[in-house]
Amino acid sequence: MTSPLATILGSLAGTPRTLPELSRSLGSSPQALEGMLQTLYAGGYVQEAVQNQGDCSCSGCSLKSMCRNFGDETPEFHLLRLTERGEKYLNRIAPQPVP
Amino acid sequence: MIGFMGDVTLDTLKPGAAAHVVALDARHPLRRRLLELGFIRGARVEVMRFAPLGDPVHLRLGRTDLALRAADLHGVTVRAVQGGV
Amino acid sequence: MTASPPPSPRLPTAPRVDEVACAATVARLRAHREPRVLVVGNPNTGKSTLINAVAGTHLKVGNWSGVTVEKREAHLKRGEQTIHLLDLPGAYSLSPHTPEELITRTALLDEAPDVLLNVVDAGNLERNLYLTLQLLEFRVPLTIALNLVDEARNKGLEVDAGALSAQLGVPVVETVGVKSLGTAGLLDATLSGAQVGAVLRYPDAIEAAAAELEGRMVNLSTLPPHAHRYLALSLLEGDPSLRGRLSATGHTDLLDAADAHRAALELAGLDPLIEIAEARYARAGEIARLAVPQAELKLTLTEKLDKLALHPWLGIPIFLALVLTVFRLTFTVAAPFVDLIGGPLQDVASGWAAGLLGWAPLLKDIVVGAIIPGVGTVLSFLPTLLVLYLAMSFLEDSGYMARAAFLADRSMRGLGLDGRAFIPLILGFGCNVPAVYATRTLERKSDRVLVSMILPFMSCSARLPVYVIFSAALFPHAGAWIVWSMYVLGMAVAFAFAWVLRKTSLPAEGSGVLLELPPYRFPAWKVMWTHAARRTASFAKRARTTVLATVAVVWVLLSIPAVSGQAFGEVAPAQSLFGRVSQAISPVFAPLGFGNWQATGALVPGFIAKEVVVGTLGQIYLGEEAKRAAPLGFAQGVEQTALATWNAVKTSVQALPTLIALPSFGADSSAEQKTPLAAALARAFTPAAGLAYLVFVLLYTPCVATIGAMQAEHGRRVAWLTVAYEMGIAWVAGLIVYQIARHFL
Repeated sequence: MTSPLATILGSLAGTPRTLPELSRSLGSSPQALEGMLQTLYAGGYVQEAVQNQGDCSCSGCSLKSMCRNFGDETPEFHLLRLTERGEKYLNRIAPQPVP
Repeated sequence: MIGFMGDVTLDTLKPGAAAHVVALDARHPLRRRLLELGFIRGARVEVMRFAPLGDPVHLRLGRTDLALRAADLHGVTVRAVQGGV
Repeated sequence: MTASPPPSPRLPTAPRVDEVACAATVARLRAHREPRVLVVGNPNTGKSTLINAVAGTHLKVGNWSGVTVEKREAHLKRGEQTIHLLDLPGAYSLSPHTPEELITRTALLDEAPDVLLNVVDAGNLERNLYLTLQLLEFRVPLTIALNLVDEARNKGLEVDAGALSAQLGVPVVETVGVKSLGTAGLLDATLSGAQVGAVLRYPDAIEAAAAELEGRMVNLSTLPPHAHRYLALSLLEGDPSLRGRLSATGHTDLLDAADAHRAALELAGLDPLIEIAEARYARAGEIARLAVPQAELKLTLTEKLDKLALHPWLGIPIFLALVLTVFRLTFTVAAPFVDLIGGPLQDVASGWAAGLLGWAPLLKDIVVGAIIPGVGTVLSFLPTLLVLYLAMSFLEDSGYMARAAFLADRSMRGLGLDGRAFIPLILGFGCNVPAVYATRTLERKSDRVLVSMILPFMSCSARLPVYVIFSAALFPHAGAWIVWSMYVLGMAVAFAFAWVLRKTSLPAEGSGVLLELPPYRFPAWKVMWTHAARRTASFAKRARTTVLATVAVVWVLLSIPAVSGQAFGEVAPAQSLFGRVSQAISPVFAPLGFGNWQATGALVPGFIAKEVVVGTLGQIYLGEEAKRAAPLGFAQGVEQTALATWNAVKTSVQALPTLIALPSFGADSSAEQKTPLAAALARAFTPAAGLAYLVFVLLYTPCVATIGAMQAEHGRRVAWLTVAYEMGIAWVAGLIVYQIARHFL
C-alpha cells in the first residue's frame, strides 16, 4: 500500500464496510487502520453509514447467531462509508476513462 | 498518453508479468469496484496465475490479491513495467 | 520464554539531516545542567510501567492543571547531573482528538524539551510510528524505547531494532518494562546518543508552503524554534485547536498566510490534511514492513500456499480432499461422543426420569417415551455439529473459502454464475437459512433466485445426523464415504437443476466478476470457538424449541388410538393415529424400498426441521422400549455416566491418528457398538432401502425456516415452486438409487 488512505477510500467506494472487513480485504492490522480511519473521519472523508440510533444493533437480528460480525470487538466504527468529499477525492485520483 | 506504443490490455499479459495501470474503460462493468480496490492510474498490477481451467486470472494490485475474468481484463489498459516481462 | 539481554543501542546509518542544527543541539544538551526528557507514546504501550522501572521511587504523581489527567514526573540524579523526566499522557497523534493528546501536544510546545523518549509498542509498530514521525518533525533529539518486545515475540513478531534505527535515524533501545529489561541503559542512550532523526519529505507543493510558513516564524520570537516545522505542517493540516491557540496569542498574520496556502493547495487539487497524513501512513507502513520482516513472510507464505491451493492440476483435488477431511473429522473425533449421548447418557436420563416420575404414568410416558429419545437423539449430534462448525469456521477465517470461489468460477460459468455463488452454496452445508440470505451478495436478481432455489440440495448440517445414524446402522465400515457421497450427490443434483432452470426460466444476464483473495491467516482459536459455539448453541436451542414441540405433537399423535377399544397412551404405535396416517402414505414409497410406516412417518415432521427425522425415528423405534426403562439410582447413574464419558474420550483420542492415514476411509469408531437406534434401523432397513431413504431425506424439501427465508427474499411463488420441484426430484432420485442399489447391496 503506497497510498494507504486512498486505498481505504477506494475500498469504501460503493460498499460501506466495517473495520474488520477493511482489515481483512486490505491485509492490514485493525490497529493500524484505526488511526487512518480517524484521520479520514476528521477530514470529513468518511462517515458512519448507519447512524447509531440505539435500537439499530445486532441484538434485534434473528440471524445473529449465524452472523460473523456479531459480538466481534468493533467499538469505535461500525459501518463506514464515503462522504461526498471522499467521493470527490477518489474521482480525482481515478484513472482517466478511455474516450 | 493514451495510445502509447507499449500500452496493451491487461488480458494479454502472461503469468509473472507486471504493468502499470494506464486507463480504465468508461463502460467497464466493474469500473467502480476496480477503483475501490485501487485500480488507480499508475498502480502496479501483476499477473500471478490463471485458474485451473484457464480463467479467471489471479492478479496482485499493490498488496491486494484479486481475481478477474479475462473478459473483464480487456477493458483495462496497462503499460508493461520495464524489464518486468 | 527466555529473556535475552537487550542489545546495546545501534547507531543509525541513515544520513544526518541538518548536521549543523544537530550539533548545536547536542552541544546545548551537554552544557545544560538539567536536561528535560519528555516521554511520549501511544496509549497501552507500557509507558507507565517503563517509567516506573526507570524512575523508581523518584516518581511524583500529580495532575495536569485544570484536568484530571495524571501528571507524572521525576528528578533523577545521574552522577552530578539532575535529569528532569516528564511522562506525557498517551497519544496516538499530535493532531489532538482527546484531552490527553492536547496535553501532550501543549507540553511538546511549551515545556522546552531537550530530548524526547518515544515509547513504542513493538507488537503494533505501524500504528505507533505515526506518532513517531510527527515527533521527528520537532527539531529535538529523539530516542526510541522499543517496548513490549516479549509480547511481540509471543505474537510471532520480531522487530529488527537495527533496521528501525537506520530508517528513522535515531537510536532504538529494546525494552521490557515489566521485567526492567533494557531500562538501565535507556537513560544513557536517551541522553548521550540522542540525535535529531530523519525528516519525512512531503509532496513538493506542501514542502514549499511549509517552508514559507517556517520562514515567517523565524521572525516571531514567540514561537519555540524547535517546533517551527511541526507548527507549519499542523497549520497546513488545518488543526483547529492550534488555530485557536495561535489566534488567542495574536498570530493572525500567520493564520492568514496558512489559510492562503491551504486555499491554493485545495485549488491545485491537494488536500493538505490528506496529503500529509497519507505520506506519514505510507512511511509508517514502509518502515514497519522493513523492520518486521515477518509481515512480508506472511505474504510470501500466502504466495506459497496459493501455489498449492490454486495449482492448475492440484487445486481442485486439494479442495475435494479438504472437504472429505472435514467429514472424516466429524466422524472420527465426534462419533464417540455421539454414541455417548445417544446411548449411555440417554439410558441414565431415562432411568432417573423413570425413578422420579413413577407416580405419574402419563407424564413418565411422555418424558421417557418421547422427549428423552426424541430430543436426546437430536442432542446427541451436538458434538458432530461442533466439529463441523469448527472446521467450516477454520476454512472461512483462514481465507481458503475465497480460493474455493476462484477455483469454482470457471465451472460455475456454465450455469451463468460466478465463483462467488459458490460461497452461499458451501455455507449451505452449515445451514440453508443464512445461506439463502448470503445470496444477497450476488449482484443480479436471476442469480440470487437461481442459487436460492438450488441451495436446499446442499446438504445442511441438520441432515448429517440422519446420514450418521443410518451409516452406523447399515454401512458401519464406510460411514465417511456414505456421508461424502451424499454431499456430492446433493451438489450434482443442485448443478443439474440449476442448468435446467437456466435453460428454461432464469436465463443468465450481465457480466463482470471480481473475487478478492485475502492473505491467508491462522484463525484465532477464540474467534473460531466463538463462531462454532454460537452456531452449535443455536442448534441446541432448536432442539429445545422446534424439535421438542414437534416431538410432543408426534407423541400425542402416536398416543391417540386409531382402533376402537384402546385407551389414550396405551396403543401400539402401528395402531395409533400417527401410525395409521403413515401407513396410508407409505405405499408411495414402496418403489423406493422404504414403504414401512415408521420410515414414512418420520419424514413428515422432518418438514419442520430435518434433524427431527432422527428424533421421530428414535421415538418410534425406541419409545416402546424406553417406556419400559427401569428406574435407576442416582449414584449408579453417576457411575455409569463417568465410565461411559471416559470411554468416549479415549476412543476419540485414539481415533485421531487414523486421520493422518489419508487413504484409509474406513476409520469409524462406532462400527463395533451400535446405539440402540442404529441397531433398530439395521433390523428395519435393507442397505439399499437405507441408501434410498438417505437420498430422499437429502433432497425432499427445504425445512420450514429455509422456506421462510426464501419467501422473504424472493416471494411466495419461488419458495413453494422450490418445494414442489424438490419433492418430485427426491422421489425420482430415491427410486433410481433403490432400483440400482438393490442389485448390488
